[in-house]
Amino acid sequence: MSPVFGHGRLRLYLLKLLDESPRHGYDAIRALEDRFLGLYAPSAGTVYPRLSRLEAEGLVTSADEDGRKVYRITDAGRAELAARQDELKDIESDITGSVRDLASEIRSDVRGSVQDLRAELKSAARDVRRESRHYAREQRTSGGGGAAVSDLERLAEWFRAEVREVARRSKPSDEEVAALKKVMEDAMTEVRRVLGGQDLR
Amino acid sequence: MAQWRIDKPQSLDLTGVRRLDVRVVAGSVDVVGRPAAAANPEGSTTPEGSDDGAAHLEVSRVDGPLIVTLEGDTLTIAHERLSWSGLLDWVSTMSSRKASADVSISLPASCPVELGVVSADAVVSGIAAPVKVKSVSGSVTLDGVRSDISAQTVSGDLEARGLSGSLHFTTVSGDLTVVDGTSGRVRAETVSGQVTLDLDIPADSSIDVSSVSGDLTVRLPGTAGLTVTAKTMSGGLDSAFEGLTTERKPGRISMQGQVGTGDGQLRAKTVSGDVTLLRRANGAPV
Repeated sequence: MSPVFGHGRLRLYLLKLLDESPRHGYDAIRALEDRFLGLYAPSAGTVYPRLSRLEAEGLVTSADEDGRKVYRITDAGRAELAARQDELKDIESDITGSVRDLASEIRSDVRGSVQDLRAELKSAARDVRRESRHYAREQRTSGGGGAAVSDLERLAEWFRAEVREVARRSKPSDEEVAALKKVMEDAMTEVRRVLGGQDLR
Repeated sequence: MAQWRIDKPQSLDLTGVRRLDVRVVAGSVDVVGRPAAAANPEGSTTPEGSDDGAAHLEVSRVDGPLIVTLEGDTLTIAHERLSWSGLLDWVSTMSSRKASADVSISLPASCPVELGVVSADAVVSGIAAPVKVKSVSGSVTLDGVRSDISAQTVSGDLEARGLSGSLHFTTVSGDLTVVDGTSGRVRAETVSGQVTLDLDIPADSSIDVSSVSGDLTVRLPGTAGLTVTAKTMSGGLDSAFEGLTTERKPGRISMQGQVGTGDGQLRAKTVSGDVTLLRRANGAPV
């Protein structure tokens, strides 16, 4: 998790929580979780040893209440807290900045994976396209097949679109239309000749 | 009902929040869901457990006041006079008004979220309840949203990682990218935006993508079971999956067939865009 709780900071923050009110261990964990917006969830194994140490140092005392150990800050604990006010302020400002920081981290992280993915898929798409064209060519040279027909159809489709586009733009006269018809009929004759009179379908 | 008017950077701690509604014009909105607390090891002092609807709101920059309202269990954060229906009008009529803010909220993951932004960028992370987003030009980033998502943008992009609920996205020119999704229900409609999906789909999925000129690219695991229907008028159709047949007619190319068990549905339709169906390499990281 975030470096909010660097060396000794969790201990200090626990002290601050006990200064607010006496708490038992689980209460302290809950309070930490709340302060840290649930982004930091300290485990019992992290918190309890620190509470014991605080007690050993005389900064807190504990008493059994309803079968639970409740910790209270001592005067020595308050003195320690007062002496380390600046450090405590730093911790609190780190906490306040955390949602925004986390979100901006998420944003740049997601953006990074998005860019990676798009680049990866773009290149994979290129490969698939190249492969299918290659396959079509193979089919054509090895005697034809569905893919070769598809390839020719794609070409014809392109041809059709181009003719249409050019015609629309230049508004051909009747003579020009007649000349173009002748060109296309000749092309068809040529196609039939190449394929030895086979029907393309 | 409790209400705050925020006109300078400030943070608020609230409880009893079960639902979030945010409407911000410009700036940024961050929504981070807090996972449910671990089970109480020694008996809780608060009967309802730690999910007391605690929410933390930070406004780190504000230009034009924000109104924060907690009514019932709904937390609303909005620029004054920006209603849901007024989102689009704002662009034309109010753009000269100052209304910009950077807003960050953390709240229980179980809260449904509704977000309306004009140009503000939004991040929504770790929410396990329905998320609805409307954005004009702001980009939307979703991370680990585990419930249904419905998003509409005009030109804003949607980038989502690790989504597992359904997604319905409508846009004019925004791009949609889904990284590491495990959702079996994706519907996207775009005019010129590109759609890029990388999904590990469950059985019986339904993926439905359409565009006018945007390219549609979908990558699926090699084990996917789908009935595929892809159509384009002047674009290209390519598939890394075998067993699909392509039919070309004047002004229309279509690709159809079954992949694997064929139990799910994949429909991709575009006028001039390309449709590309890719498969994940076996053992590729999800």
